[in-house]
Amino acid sequence: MNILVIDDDASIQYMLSEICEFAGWNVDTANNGKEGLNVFAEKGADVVLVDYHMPEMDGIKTVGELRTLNADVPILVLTVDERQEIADRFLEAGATDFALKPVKAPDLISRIQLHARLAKLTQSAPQQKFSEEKDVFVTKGISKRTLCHISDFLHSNREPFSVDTISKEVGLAYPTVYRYIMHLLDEGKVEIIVSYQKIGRPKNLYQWID
Amino acid sequence: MIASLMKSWTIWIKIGVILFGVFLLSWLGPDEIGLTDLLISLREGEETGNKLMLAVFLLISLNTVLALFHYIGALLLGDEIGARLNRPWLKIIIPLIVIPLDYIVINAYYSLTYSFSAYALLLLFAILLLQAFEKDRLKPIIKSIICSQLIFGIEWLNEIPSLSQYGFGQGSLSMELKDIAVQVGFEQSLTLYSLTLCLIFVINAVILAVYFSLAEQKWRIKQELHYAQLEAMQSRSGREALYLVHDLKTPLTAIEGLNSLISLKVDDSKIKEYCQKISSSIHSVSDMISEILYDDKKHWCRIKDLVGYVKASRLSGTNLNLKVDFQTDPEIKILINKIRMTRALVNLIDNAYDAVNGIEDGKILLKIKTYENELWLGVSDNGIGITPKEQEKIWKAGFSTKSHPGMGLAFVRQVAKGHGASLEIDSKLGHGTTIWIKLAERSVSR
Repeated sequence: MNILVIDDDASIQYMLSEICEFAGWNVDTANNGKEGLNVFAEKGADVVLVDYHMPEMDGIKTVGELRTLNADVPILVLTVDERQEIADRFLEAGATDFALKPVKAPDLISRIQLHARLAKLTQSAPQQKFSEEKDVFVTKGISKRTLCHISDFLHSNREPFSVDTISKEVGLAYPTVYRYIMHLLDEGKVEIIVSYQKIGRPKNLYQWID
Repeated sequence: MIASLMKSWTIWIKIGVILFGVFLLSWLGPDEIGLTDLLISLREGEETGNKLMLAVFLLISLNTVLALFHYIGALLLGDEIGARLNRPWLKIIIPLIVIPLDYIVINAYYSLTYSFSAYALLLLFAILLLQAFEKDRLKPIIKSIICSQLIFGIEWLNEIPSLSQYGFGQGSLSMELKDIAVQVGFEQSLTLYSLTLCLIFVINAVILAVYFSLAEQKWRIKQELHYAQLEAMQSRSGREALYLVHDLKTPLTAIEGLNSLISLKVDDSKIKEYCQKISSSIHSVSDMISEILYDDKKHWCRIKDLVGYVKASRLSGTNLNLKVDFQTDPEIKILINKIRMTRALVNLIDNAYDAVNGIEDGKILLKIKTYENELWLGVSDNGIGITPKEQEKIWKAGFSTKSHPGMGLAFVRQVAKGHGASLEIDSKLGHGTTIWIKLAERSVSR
């Protein structure tokens, strides 16, 4: 499997390369968005890791450009920014998921594996050209692949979960899951169940509606 | 409170000025300035207009100098006491009582009689004028200059013969001079002179008062602008600091990534343990950074740890040490943004130190107690306390008892709001103040 790492920070580049090599993958690195796009156009990749804060072309723009090149490739965003609005902008640009810094090696490895597997699933189930284009984005920032992944989990478990729990169970980052859950809520696929805790604020739990 | 007023030397200076005005007549009377000689020569038939005008001018000057002490002393005394006790009405009442008292004392003490009728008008006018510009905080020296012009101007009304019937110039010297003026046939010219001089000085005093209050306002606006610019600069440097803090996560990420990779690559259980320790340290740094960057970030934290953090954060040159009064179990966990809550408490503690500054047995106490499942964090001092009127204004940004713009309590309020906590001021004048941050039940674990 080929991984493309786009990050302006040498120490992060090195760290990510080492982790990917440990997992037995090939790594290409790029120092900024422009370079990353060139490398991707030339060699392609199975999974792309993109940093948010970069000179020349920031993460959001890079993700958008990558998507125009390839509608399918999983793009993971590495960010220190925890704000949901930033996450939403990334997802709308076409990012697949996030890895919040600081990230642990095992978590990163399993996340990359998950997205590679999800991407393979959609590729191995060949659909009509027409629906494949539709496949990537149901609406802006929502990919069918990820949506199915989250829906499957909720559908098969049939109990209320917090976004936090879902995020851990499906192996996707919190901001990604939150956005998809909000989408499912709009669609009327899930409902909110407010759970009053012994301590802390009441929590919103989400459950699949039949 | 009265006792503390009595201790204030500025009050005594003003009382001294008033008393000085009363006894000044002994050293600076009509005899000393040559007015008596003039009057004698006038009485003896040398009734020239020249001497008359001179005598009138001397009399007015003398009266002005004497009155100046009473009025300025009384006005400034009223101002100060009113300001200190935070009761504005005292600023008007005190002069209204003190000035007539002066005249009663003088008339009882000296053989000369001084009339008070014209002064009633003068007094009212002066006080009203000065109080009108009160909110612009004229400096005492400016007030004195304006006051002296007013007095000098209005004194001339006492020398207008036709105004005698309205109670002006009933003093023995004034009456005599006016009679002489009528005899000499100088009545009209004296009236003209007196009126002209009166108008010139009174108008001038009004113009001065307006001008100075405008200048004062302008200066204040400039000051406020300056503070606003300072604030803007501070917030910009604050933002810069946030970017810097943000960038701290990058090296942390590299450390955490490689650290966790080491853990995957080795079998040595000790090394795995070290990696675990490093990892948890990295995460506590990362959490701190998140708390600095996002005020809605909160973590569960033991009260003990919070207190330790507050103590460690408070860098101060004072040798007072912060005592902590645990009225609850320090192991209880609370859901807080530790960084911001610490800053809020440190702000309160700094204010408390200011409040006990100069007090011999200044005590500051950080109190922690539970009340009906709520957790209260309080900072108390034994300073002078906060008046109820100040308590309303205290939380506003910009309010300060010190010379710099107050932002501390506004920040405390912001932090409390971010934690869904309420604030309470418990203050007794002369005994001290406790400010409580009350964390709601949902932020407290059992």
